[in-house]
Amino acid sequence: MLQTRALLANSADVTALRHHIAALEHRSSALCSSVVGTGLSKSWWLGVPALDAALPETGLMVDGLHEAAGATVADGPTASAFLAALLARFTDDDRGNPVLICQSRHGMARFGRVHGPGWRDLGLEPANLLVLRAGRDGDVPWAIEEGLRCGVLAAVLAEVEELSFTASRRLSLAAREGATPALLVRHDGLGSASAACTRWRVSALPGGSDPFDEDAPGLPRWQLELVRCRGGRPVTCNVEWNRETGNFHMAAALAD
Amino acid sequence: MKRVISIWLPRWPIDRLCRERAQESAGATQSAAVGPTPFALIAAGRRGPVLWSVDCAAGAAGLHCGMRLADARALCANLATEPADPMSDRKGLERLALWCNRFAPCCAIDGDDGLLLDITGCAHLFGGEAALMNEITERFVGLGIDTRTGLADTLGGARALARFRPQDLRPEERIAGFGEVGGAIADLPVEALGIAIADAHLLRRLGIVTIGALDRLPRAALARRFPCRKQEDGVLLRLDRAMGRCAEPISPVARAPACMERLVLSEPLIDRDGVNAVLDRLMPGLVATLDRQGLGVRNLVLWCYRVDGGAVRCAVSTARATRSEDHLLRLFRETAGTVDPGFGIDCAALHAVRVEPLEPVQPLLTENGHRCGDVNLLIDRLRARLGTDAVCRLEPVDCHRPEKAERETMPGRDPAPFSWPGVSDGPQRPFRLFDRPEPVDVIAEAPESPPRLFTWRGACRSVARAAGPERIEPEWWADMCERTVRDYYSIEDSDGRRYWLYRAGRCGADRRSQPRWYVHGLYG
Repeated sequence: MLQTRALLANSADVTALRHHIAALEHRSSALCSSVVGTGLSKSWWLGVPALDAALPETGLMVDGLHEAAGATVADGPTASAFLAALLARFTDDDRGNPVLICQSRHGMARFGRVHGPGWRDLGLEPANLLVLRAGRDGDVPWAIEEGLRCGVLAAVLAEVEELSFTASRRLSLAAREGATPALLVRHDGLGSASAACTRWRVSALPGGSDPFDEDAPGLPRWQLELVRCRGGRPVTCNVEWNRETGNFHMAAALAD
Repeated sequence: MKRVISIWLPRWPIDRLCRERAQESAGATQSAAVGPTPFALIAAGRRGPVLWSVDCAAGAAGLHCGMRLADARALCANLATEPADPMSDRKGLERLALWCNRFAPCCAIDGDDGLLLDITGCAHLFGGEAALMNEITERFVGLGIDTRTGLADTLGGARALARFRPQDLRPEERIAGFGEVGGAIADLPVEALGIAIADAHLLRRLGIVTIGALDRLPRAALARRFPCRKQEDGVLLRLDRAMGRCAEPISPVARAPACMERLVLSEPLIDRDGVNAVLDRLMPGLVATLDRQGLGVRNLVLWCYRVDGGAVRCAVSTARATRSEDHLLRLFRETAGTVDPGFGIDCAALHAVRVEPLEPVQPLLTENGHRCGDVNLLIDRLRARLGTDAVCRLEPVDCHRPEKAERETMPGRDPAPFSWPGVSDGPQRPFRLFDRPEPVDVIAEAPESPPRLFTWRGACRSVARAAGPERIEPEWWADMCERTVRDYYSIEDSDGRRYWLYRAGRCGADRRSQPRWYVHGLYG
């Protein structure tokens, strides 16, 4: 009892220590004193307790590299929608900093081009999107790095056909330098090694029906598998994305 | 008052052919075109082939352009001939005109065998007009091109001096001083004005041989005698233009820059790193000029003039007017690697082609130091490396057809007059849209009902849920081929993946053709 009281008395010190360690480890700029006040002081959570518990105590790293891939090739768009939804939880449109979206030529042929009204529905203002369509897939990593390093963008959301470990390390350093989140959709899957902070495997799940029309599709339901998380632990969770509130919810076991 | 140099290339088709032959064989063997054998280029005439261009030896033998080949052979039995190639001549002349921009920023093509240089305010860079004329002649001799030059206040005057002054005069003797053009061309024949041949013949028959004599005639009589059939070669108009009484327009091959910076190299550059060094030397001067005038550049072109008579162009453009030296140099780093120095670059010029007023900007105190950098700088870099259409912004268009509901615009343009529709306006839209809707095979319970099964990209998908239809009618003013009704369904298959399908055409409207189905987009 006495020990607990002593711990409580020192909890301010413990928090300060934690912040200090986090700053040393560059785990999150949310707590890093050098970046506080640059507009990035917001911490980045998914809002689902089961998932947030698996993340490090500072949340998703704001100036880090995050990767997602579809469980199968056909889940590519799902992975990219998940990252867009994740980004929509973090950016605020008032600042007007653009989001750079890099499309590779193969990704465009396979899943179509970026359609502004749809991104509006995902919660990102289309006027803030800067769409880059690379003629060669090899140019995409270069463009991502330029975008990250300039430090003006709200985020870079890109799809890459393949990325070596060295290239991913480079992007991760660029993200830290520019204090800009980098979100990558890996069309080559999560097989190869990567320097990303978090890696997600995303697949679509059959969703519930619309509350007003039982034949119509309701909220999209995804299975999120946090494969790797620096400072956290892997976890699998089924979530629903509510486009109107911009929130993730735990999916009910199975609606029907 | 303008100062204009006219450069006449009397044997341009043959000179061009020789230069190309020499370049092909890398100068190893002398071309057949130059030598003791008379040589001529021939073209098809109305009655058999005629001479198009003759070289010195053939000219000495009494041959001249326009003569029929049969007559020429009678005069000179050992005449060698080749067919003429006017298209290549023209292209070569355009290249040469671009190269001539090294002397003055405004250079134009004059007919089939001449160039015009507006050297107003440029001569002092070369040590005066006579020195400039000498340099031009020497350079052309070095290129193996025969030239005559003339300098006057007017285009017509310079042209007459270049083409009709005796051949043996030195270049500086073909200069008409300020306001002296009337006197300088007074004793030249009337043909020097470039009037129609019929008019020239008539004037000669009337005993009017020189331009001076023509100028002394009363204008009213001249206008009556030679009414302007065609605007361009009316006698009076030509006379007035040559005398400087009315202006003659000049249409340059390259747009004259708003400001420029030029560097002459004593030793030709032969490697690409040298180009970057040249840029480092040129840029501060240009930026200082822009700064003085309160201008920012939108379009910047580096011209590299090669010793072999070619000009290489390397351009960068910016999304917003800028005069930041570092930024512009960085943009050139991406593109300057493509400059081919060839046999060497001995002169380079940096032209600010498109400029806009640019006032110094005061950064706001309330803005955050870190995030308020200029996104346009990033856009410029991306565009310099990946091409001008690689980066775009999306802009809403007031149109219901999904593929036309947005437009790609260049970043840096003014915002669109329409705003994006709100989230809650109408059904959800897919976030990925196919450029070309992909056809699918569909099985539905009834023709008008949503599909039950569909086959897309070779895989059969069973439909778990479907919302729709959302009917999108074509605009009544659209083309007939685009005027099909579309019924859109948003569909979730049994795996939970979501598609945006549509049925093109009305059911039952035409018994022979069934409505077709397409996948138009994907939801997350």
